[in-house]
Amino acid sequence: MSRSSSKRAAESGPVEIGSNCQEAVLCLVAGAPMPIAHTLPGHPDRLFVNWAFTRAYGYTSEDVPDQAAWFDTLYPGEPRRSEAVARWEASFAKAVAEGTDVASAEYTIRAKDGTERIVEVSAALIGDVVLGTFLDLTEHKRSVARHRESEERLRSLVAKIPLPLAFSLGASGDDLFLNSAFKEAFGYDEKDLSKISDWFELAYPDEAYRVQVMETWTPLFERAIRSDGFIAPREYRVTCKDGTVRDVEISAVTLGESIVGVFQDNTTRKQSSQLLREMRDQLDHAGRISALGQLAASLAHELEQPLGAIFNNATTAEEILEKENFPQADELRTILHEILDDDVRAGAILDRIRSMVQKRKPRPEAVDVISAVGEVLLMVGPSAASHGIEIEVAPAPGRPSVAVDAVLFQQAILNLLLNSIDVLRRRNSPRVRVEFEAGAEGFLAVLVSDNGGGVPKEEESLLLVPFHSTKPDGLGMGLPIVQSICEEAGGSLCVKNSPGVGFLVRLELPLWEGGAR
Amino acid sequence: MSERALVHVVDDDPSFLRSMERRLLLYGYEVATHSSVEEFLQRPSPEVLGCVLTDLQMPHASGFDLQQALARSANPLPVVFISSKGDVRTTVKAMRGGAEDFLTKRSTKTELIAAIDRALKRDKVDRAHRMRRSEACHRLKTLGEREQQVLAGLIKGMPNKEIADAIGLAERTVKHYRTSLSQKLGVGSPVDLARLVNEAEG
Repeated sequence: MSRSSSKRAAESGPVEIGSNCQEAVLCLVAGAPMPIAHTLPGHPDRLFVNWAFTRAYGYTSEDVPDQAAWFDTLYPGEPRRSEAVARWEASFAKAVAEGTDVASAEYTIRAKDGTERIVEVSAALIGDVVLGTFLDLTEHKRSVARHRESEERLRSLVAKIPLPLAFSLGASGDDLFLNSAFKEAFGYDEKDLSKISDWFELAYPDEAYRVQVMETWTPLFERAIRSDGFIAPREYRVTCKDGTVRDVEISAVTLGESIVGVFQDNTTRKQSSQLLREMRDQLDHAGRISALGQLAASLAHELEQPLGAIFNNATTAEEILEKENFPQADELRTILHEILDDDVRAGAILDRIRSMVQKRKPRPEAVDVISAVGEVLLMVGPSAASHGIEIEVAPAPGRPSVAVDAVLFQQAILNLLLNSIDVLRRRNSPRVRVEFEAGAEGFLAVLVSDNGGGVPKEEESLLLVPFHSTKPDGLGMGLPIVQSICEEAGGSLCVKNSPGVGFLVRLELPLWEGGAR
Repeated sequence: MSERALVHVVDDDPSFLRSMERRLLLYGYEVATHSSVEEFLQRPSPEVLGCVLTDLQMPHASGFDLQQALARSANPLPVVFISSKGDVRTTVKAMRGGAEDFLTKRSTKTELIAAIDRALKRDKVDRAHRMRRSEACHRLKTLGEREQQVLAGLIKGMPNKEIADAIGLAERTVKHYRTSLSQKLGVGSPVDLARLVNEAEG
């Protein structure tokens, strides 16, 4: 016997059955696994409860022999009892009047062990017998309450998480919950996004892109539900409510029918790394130009000599050949002519390079040394840190500015730091220190030192010589470039080498005097 | 150049120096090579016609240093710089210092010979000028006090009578001094005398 069978009974109206049949029904009731209470045939006041009822609520037929005892025991105290009696009698009267079953209703009864139980009571009239079934809702109610509570807890937890989150608890994707970080990040609230599909419409307004997103997302989502419930982060171009487009990394977890999406805005991070990359490129470019200028000047002078010698010799030989005449003189003339042509061509290349690089004139400006050095550190910091090298920048007195081409100044500092990092790679507790102190009148000294061991005494004099490098793959232009940058700014450079200890490079640069320069 | 002439080449690169020497010898010049400015300045200084071809950038003293030292010396030879093309700043600086000419390290025969011959020609002129001057000075020093006074009057264009009055001598005595000074200096007309004094004054 179940609720549905009593409903079927309700549809066909009160069951008219003979007393034998009534006996049989009551026999079945006694053994039925569902808690049932009923009046006895011919004794509308007497009550009988089945074993299932006794098992569920503890009471036997002796405990509740009649209706009065029933209400007294199951609904102890006032106004509880009167209320229960009134509700029951009303539904009972209604059922009798309408010739239907007694509509099922919730009652809270007290079991014999003193616990309160929420039960759904349905009753049918079988002849003169009133038969009630009891469905215990307590567990169900409790689990619903627990569910609601945990849902609440989840909401409040999610609401407090500073990361943008959105979750939906139903399979349909309705009832989307958004935390405040989400609303702040994208501008959408629950009014805009009542279900998951709204998100796809609004965040990806471009249809082609939306299709693309769905094609990525849907298989990920389906896989997650089938397997580990995790949707790995992927980047999507999300359009915010204000129309801005941001690069957002979206990952999600699915828990049964619920899904929680986590949103990480990468735009800012990307912008700053982009900025850093651009800065590095710019510096790199300037460095290359400056290095090229130095290279060209040095190259031009160095190559001018051998090219000149070749030219002179070939010319002389050619002119001797003009006077003498012997076999193969023509061949030799051709050879010499080609040597001369190539020599002239090489010289022209040098001239062109030189005139090209001479165009870049350093532009002195006020350079805040602290922030300029700081920017360089942003660039070399990661590489230094990966080798365990500590770069320490001492505070400068005041906030000095020097008059130098900003990019070239940073190039100079970069060269020095890279040099130090190079030699420090395989040393113990490697350290680079950048310090500032007053230089000569009107000058600031910038000191860059390391504990990289310096160079042997005999190599000291070669430090500033172009194309001389202590590194196997070095170009030998690092320090010469720094020197030329200092000198072009009207300053100077000196290197103090302490063999076995380290290097100290001291740049003196003119202080910026309020734009007077 | 029919006359004997010595071309000095100064460059720190031995290979370039050798090749330039070879080339200039072929063109018929007498050549002396020097691997530094210092070495050049310490050379024995024969009084022959000459000029200097010098590199501009050298490790110690530069071509400019050579130019300045030479200008102060007794034998200021004309200087031809061998420098890189298109180096305007250097060119201007060298010109101000009185550089005779510029050559690149890869000059053609025509350019090279023209520059050297111009320099040698200038040296010849300078040298002749210097010689006349020292000869004139030498001759003027042989004059006595009265002869010098008469000479001063003559080159101002004064007649004998006026000179005699100015220095308190008889006109006849002035005539006598005039004859003797003309004999000593080898010229007689007031114009020639004026030129000689001019030369002596440099």
